[in-house]
Amino acid sequence: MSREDYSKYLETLELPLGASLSEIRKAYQHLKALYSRESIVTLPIEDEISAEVKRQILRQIEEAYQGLLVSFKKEEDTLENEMSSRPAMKNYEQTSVELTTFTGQALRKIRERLNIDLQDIALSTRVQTQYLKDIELENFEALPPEAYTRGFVISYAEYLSLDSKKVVDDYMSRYSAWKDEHEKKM
Amino acid sequence: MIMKAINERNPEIWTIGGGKGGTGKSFVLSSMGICLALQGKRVILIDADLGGANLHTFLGINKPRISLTDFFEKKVLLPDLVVDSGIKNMGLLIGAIHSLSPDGIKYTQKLKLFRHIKKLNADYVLIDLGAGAHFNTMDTFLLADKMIVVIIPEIIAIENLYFFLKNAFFRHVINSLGGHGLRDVVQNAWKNREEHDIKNFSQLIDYLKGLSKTMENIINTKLSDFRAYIILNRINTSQEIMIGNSVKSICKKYFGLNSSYVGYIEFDAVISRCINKRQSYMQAYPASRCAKEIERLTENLLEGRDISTKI
Ligand SMILES: Nc1ncnc2c1ncn2[C@@H]1O[C@H](COP(=O)(O)OP(=O)(O)OP(=O)(O)O)[C@@H](O)[C@H]1O
Ligand SMILES: [Mg+2]
Repeated sequence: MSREDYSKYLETLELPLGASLSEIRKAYQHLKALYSRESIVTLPIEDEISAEVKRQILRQIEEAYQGLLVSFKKEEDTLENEMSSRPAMKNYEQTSVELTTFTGQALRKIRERLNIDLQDIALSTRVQTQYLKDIELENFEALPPEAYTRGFVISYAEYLSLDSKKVVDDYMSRYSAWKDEHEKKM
Repeated sequence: MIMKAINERNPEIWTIGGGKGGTGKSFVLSSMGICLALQGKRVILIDADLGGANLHTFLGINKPRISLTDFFEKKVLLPDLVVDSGIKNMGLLIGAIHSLSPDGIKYTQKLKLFRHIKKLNADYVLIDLGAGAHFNTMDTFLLADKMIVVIIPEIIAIENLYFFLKNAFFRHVINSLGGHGLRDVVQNAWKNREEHDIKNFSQLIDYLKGLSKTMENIINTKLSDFRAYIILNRINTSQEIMIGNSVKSICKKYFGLNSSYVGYIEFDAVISRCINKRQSYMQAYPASRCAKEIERLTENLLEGRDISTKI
């Protein structure tokens, strides 16, 4: 990516030069929500902006985010290649698309690759950090009743821009298995 | 020689507006003034809410008997109208309720007042404006080195802010077009907007830019030196903090206007109680969360720091 693109993308996401991946991610999520939903901030100018302009803004946001994400991936991969003999992981988006099992551990790995803190997720999803940890550890005993856990996993997956249905179905299948087991014992 | 240079330095001017009434402009401005004064900076607060001057109430003092009227009518010098605010390092200068209805000031008087404000002997001059977007309010707002706007998490306040900023920007352009003999270009474009197929602010901007290279340059220069500093007041939940980011984004992406989000202040019922008791909140509750938030945003304003990525 050229320097020009880099600054243009950051400008689109309204970030200063040198923004971290987690800042980029946060800005992206905030802007995407802002320009695709109605809120007290956008309602007053609803009739001033055409749907086309809005779509264009969303497209630019998406393009900026994807562009920046790739640049981060490249940097990280080179770093990883130099530091270890592990095979370079493929582009994150691609990897997560190919994944079918979303164990707590897998989720944690994806999160860490994205440089996202649990606190970030907690802040935005309002799910307590401890529960997020328990999700990653598949510490089912510590998690709240099924319906809540389900909601938490969905929020978590959405924050990582994963296919939340795929994630939650897979994750909850292990939760249910544990629950059945647990109830049998009782 | 050096001393003289320091004394003759112009004060940094902060103005506070935002369109809607009752969002907390006077409270925030007086509180920021107290923060600066406590840091040892020499501050003068000017109450330019010509319709409803009430800044003294937030400081817990009686309404001063001398006011800007004396500047206009009795030709008293501006520094002689600054009264004691009850707070060390801070003076207060108030507008007058009747003699100075917004339409009442003549253009030349206004320019003279602005000239004298810029020469006041202080580090910071903080000017409180009334609600609304009258052109005199706008011109005073634009006098600032830092133009501050206060919003609250309510749709009308946000709507008024957009209106206010768009007006402020056009006033900013119009004021500089005078020197180019183009004073009426903006008004004419807007008057004939149907003919030019102009439906909103950004189309008007585009139309003006398209008129000539000169116009394009003027608009671009004015866009780049226009910046509003946003304060979000009276928030009730931590989720509302992000409204500041959102408003900033809309201003940029829809109107092309730059702004910085410098801080938020929680809702605190104690604030109105203080006013009723004629106490200054910052002094009565210096350790409260609101007081800390105000200190932080004052610091951010001083440094020109934006909090959007920090939250
Ligand atoms: N953070 C806050 N929490 C609770 N009350 C607040 C807060 N900020 C301001 N207020 C209250 O809101 C009322 C309006 O404040 P203020 O007079 O400063 O608004 P204003 O914008 O200057 O109004 P006007 O446009 O009429 O000049 C005051 O009574 C004040 O006590
Ligand atoms: Mg006021």
